[in-house]
Amino acid sequence: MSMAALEAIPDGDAERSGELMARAKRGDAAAFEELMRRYERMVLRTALRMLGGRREEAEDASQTVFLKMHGSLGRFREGEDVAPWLYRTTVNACRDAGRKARRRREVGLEPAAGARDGGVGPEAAAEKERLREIVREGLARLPEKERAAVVLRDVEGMETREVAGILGTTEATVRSQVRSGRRKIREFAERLLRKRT
Amino acid sequence: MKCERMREIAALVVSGDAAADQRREFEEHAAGCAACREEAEAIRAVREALEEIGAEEPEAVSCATVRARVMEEIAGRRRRAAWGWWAAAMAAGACAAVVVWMVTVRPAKVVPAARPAVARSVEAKAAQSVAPAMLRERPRRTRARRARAVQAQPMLVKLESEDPNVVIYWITSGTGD
Ligand SMILES: [Zn+2]
Repeated sequence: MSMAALEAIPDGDAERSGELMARAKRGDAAAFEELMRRYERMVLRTALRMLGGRREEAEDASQTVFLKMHGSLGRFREGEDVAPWLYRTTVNACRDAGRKARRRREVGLEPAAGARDGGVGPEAAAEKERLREIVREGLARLPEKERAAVVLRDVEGMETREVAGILGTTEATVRSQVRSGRRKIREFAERLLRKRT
Repeated sequence: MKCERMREIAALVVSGDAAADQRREFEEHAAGCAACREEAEAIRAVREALEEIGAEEPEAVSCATVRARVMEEIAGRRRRAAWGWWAAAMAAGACAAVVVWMVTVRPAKVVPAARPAVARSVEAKAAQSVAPAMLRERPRRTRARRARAVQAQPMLVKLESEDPNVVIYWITSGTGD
């Protein structure tokens, strides 16, 4: 379906995925493990971006996603692309993780030390890395729904229609969330970059 | 105020998400407004950074960690399910009279045709001589004797489950041990 899904399944390999799924359904653990290898980067990357780069939480969320997938093998039709289901489940798992984490930790309004101090350099590459860092931080600060829309639309590069399908909402809502999210990140970046100069 | 509205549109124009008429309106405005052109550029840069973030692969060690934990949990679930089944099988064995299908070498001897003479005589004597309160106690004693008499034979017990591949046999001493 999406760029990301195509990337997850190597070209002409959908058949192999279907075969692995059929074997996994019959209880073949090795086949399930290989399926995991195909999707783990996609799931972890999405979880990392949803959870502001907090690695341990992203690993926990990814673990939840794959255990759910294992428990839900029966529901996948033959030849079905599991990527949309995985994206949706990842976003939901991260929402739950975010809720738990918020109870433990106060998110300050001031930019984290990492975003303020790290990676400043005169070269264009360093500038780009600096912007990426700020954007990562800005993304982490978005309200959950806007973050999910921006992660799927801009980070994962999916079409608005696909994002709406995964998040169970309308294209108009996704557009509005994406617009608001992008503007907030842009304002966040502007504030930080202005502070520096 | 015109610029504020244009900035809203700018955030969608960069990805082709703005409606055609909004896009035209923005282009006409931006042609004469440097601030809005700059805004669109800034949003484009943010979007580019987001795309680059998407190209970053998570660390291999994270993938391996998750995979190992998931596979371990799945194996653990299987083990627990198997043990759970065993526990259920053992519980079923304890309720042998209900669940178990018994086969003995001499089936006719398993079920006693009559109550043992000892039990009957004890009961008869007691019925004549003891108070009503004692009468309520007595049957329990005689049932126990009878049960011992029944189990005096070695028994082959077969335990069947819903899974046709799992059938358990064992031989009991006949005394309940
Ligand atoms: Zn303007």
